[in-house]
Amino acid sequence: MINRATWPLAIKLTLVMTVMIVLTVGAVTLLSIRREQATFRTDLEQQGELLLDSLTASGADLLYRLQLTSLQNLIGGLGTTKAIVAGWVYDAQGHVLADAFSPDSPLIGAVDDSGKNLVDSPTTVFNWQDNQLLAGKAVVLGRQTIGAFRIGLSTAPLEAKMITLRDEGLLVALVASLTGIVVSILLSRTLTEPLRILTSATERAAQGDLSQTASIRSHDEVAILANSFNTMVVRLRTTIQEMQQRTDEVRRSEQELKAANALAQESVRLKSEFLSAISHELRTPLNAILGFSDLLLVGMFGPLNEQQTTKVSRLKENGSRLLLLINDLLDLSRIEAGRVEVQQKPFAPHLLIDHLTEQMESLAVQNSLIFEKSVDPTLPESLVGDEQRLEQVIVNLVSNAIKFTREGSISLKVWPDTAAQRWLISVKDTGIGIPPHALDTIFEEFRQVEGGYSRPYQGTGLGLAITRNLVRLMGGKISVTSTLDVGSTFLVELPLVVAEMSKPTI
Amino acid sequence: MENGNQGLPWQALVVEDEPDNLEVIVATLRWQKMTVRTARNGFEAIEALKDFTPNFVLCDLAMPDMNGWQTLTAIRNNSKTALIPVIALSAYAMVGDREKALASGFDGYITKPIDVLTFFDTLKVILGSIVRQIPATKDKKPTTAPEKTAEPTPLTTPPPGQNNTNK
Repeated sequence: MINRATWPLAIKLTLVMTVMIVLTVGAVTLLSIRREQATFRTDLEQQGELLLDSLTASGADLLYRLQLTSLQNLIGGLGTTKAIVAGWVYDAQGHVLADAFSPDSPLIGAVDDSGKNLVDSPTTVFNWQDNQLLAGKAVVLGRQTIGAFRIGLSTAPLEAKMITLRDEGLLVALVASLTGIVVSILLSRTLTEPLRILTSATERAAQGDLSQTASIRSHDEVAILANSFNTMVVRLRTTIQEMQQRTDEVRRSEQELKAANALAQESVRLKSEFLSAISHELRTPLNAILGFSDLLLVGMFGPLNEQQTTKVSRLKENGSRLLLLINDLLDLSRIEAGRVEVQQKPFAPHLLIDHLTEQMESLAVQNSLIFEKSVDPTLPESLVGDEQRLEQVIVNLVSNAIKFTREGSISLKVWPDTAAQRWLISVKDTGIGIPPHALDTIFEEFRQVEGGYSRPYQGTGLGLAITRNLVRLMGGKISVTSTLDVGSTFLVELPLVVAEMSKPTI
Repeated sequence: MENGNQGLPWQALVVEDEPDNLEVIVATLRWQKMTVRTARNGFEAIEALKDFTPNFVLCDLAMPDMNGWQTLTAIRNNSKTALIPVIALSAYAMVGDREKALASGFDGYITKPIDVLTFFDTLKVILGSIVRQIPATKDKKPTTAPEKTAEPTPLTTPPPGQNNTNK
């Protein structure tokens, strides 16, 4: 089955218009045929009337005198007119007195009882039959009806004329229909062609081809639609191009980022390799320096005098410092390379401080300094953190304080700040202090404060940098306040994570 | 003084390419009255082990021609020397260097510079901790009583020279 709904618009339009044209032309043709027919009938009836009148004029006298032979001749003479196919003469009672027929008339020998009607009728009587018109009229002489005449007129010419008219009408209808179809096809084309162009452009756009637009030359609603469509396509194209550009940009910056990242990783790797090589190359000669120093001191190569022992000891001390520097450098590079991981384990801060105090105190005393310690009793018994790294931080800060203090005291203070979820460690000294301009850079590598002091402040210059890095790794921060020639205070803040006490499980 | 060998039980092979370091190590060991033989690379070490079975081998890692790891492999692949403890002695002190060396089969790892005064204690700790597992593949050829030759002498008796530890 063909679904009419899917027919193209052009075919639908053409069909509708064609049907209308055919109907109109058909109706017009039919109407004109009927009018012609009516006209022709009237003409034939008038002709019949005229013939009857002339028949009456010439035959009324013969009828009055009942000269039958003459009447027969008169009727028979009618046959010479081709249009007349039959003729009758009736007496006053309606009986046939004489008649005549064309040879092919179907009325030959037929019973004729219409005479009575004719005689009684004051007007002409018409009687339409298949192929003839019978027209009859009474003959009145004075006031007396003396009989009637009747003639049969052939309708053949009428039929012939009707057929011609019908044929002509059909021809005109055909031509009109054909013209109408062609016109309607053309018309629907002009109506639907822009729509077809627009449709195919839309389909192309839907498939992603935005390079083409719909070009429509008319100025109607379809053209407005096409214009809107074209604008939309152009905008879509622009938008897509912009998106493409943005995607490209993102991809490019992603690649740049990747490259930069790779470069950074590569540089970290190179730095690490470089440090490894430096460390190896420095340790190798140090092994000989320190080893021979020790061996000399233990008398492996013969006894030394006092002065020689002192000098070799100095040699060994300096070698040891060099080794310390290398170790610090390695430590720092490990932290910076992110290779140091901070543990999160429970530990007892009070015990740690007690243990460290022993070391620190003896070191302070060796340098003729007083070591003070104060730990807030509210500091939890058990915290979570990296005990070893914490120890390193405290030792570094205290050693640093001792190194830069000629006289006075070093005080270590530890207390919790529960509200801020932190705990704090401060190391205060009465040392040389740090000039204000150096406070910002004190935690950077090799940033020992230079000063014209008599005592050399020996150290690697890496201690504070390492300390700061460790504190940051532990999630804390370090700060310093200082007054020149009065002293410095280093403050470490660390996150306070109280260890869950596994209470009476055992 | 240098020739302090008084017929004491410990014998060592030191493999080291750098002459000064070699001398320091040899002197340190001889200070502890050990019998020491030296090799300047892996080839010399393999050669020395043909007629010398020390209690342990001290082996540098970075050496030309045949490095420490190659030397270790050669020692382990010879059934006669496979069970001799080999201790790495290296100036590589970065994180992971020790772990790498131990993973590749060294029995211990000592970083340079060495501490002359505590070197012997360190050696004792390393040698005392060795637990030998005889690899199954080595069983194909029955070794000629390797335990006897390779095991270090029991370390309960400290060799003389310990009393020299001064500060």
